[in-house]
Amino acid sequence: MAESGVTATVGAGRTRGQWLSTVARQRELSLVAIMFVLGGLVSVTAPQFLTLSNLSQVAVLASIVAVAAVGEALVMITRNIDLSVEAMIGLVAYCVAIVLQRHALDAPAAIALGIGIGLVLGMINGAVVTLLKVPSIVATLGTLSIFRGVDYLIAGSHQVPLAGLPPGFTDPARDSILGIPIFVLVTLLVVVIGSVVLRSTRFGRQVYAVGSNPEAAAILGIPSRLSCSPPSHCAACSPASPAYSGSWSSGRSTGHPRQAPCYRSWPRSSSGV
Amino acid sequence: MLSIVAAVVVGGVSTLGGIGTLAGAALGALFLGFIANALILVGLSQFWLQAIYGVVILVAISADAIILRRIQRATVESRAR
Repeated sequence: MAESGVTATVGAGRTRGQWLSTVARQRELSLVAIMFVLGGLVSVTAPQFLTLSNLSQVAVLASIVAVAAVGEALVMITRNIDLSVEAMIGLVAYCVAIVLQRHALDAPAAIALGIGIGLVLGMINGAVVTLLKVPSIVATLGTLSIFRGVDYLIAGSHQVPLAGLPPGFTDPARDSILGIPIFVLVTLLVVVIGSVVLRSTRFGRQVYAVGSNPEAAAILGIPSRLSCSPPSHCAACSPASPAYSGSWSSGRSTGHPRQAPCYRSWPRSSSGV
Repeated sequence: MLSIVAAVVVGGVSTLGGIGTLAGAALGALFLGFIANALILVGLSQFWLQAIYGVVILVAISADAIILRRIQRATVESRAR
């Protein structure tokens, strides 16, 4: 499809390819279209589906998954995968919640701690994949069990109730600015910053280069350590989590920690996921 | 289980690497949340959720694979002429 300028005079084969590549490029838009159709169908049987309060509820819950998905997408674009995200989320969620419950740190510090833990866990994944050259699917399957095990080990059967956390921490789940929930705003910010980095920086282009063709990327001189450092950086991503029902989400990726909000001890449910 | 990976794949990020956007991944998450919420409101059992997620993922991956193959074939054909 990139050769469309070179092969100017071709027939049906190319138009079909072109059409398909347009569809592929509009992948995101087709998702939105499907959502609209689905929304219409569902609202026939359940009119409350398309109410503002319900939709914002959906958006808040989805935004927590979305932050983690952004991190995961970075990893997957480099032709790797991180299976351990959800265990990571559970572990981070519990650590943050327990620290807050014991008033060891205030809310911003606890959120920073969560992002820090997420970074360290991600770097462990990254190190195993890049330094030891273990395929990421195997490595993160291992760390999935490890993180989950550590979570169980620390938490036991203990849960942190949402009510026990300081309001500075739990309020952002309910608050909104200009009618847009804070969670959604934070997620948008993460997506925008991440997209700009991926599209316009050398690092971002290298992430795509490594993912499309690792051998070519190596020949082009993208250092293999970096070629892995997308993985290792990207793997540092993740943790995010559920809104109301609670818990905590945290940051990710290349050193710019992302976001945070969290509530209570979702860890249990999250580790159970 | 693995709803995050599911969101990413549904959002159009290729499991083979090199293809996809972050906005797509976020939209994928929204899409799955949308489905989950719709299922509850329509009154379907939660147990269906996992199965339906599975179907959505399969459809998304298959669609991507088919489109990618067609594009490659079309590119090869147009180069051959």
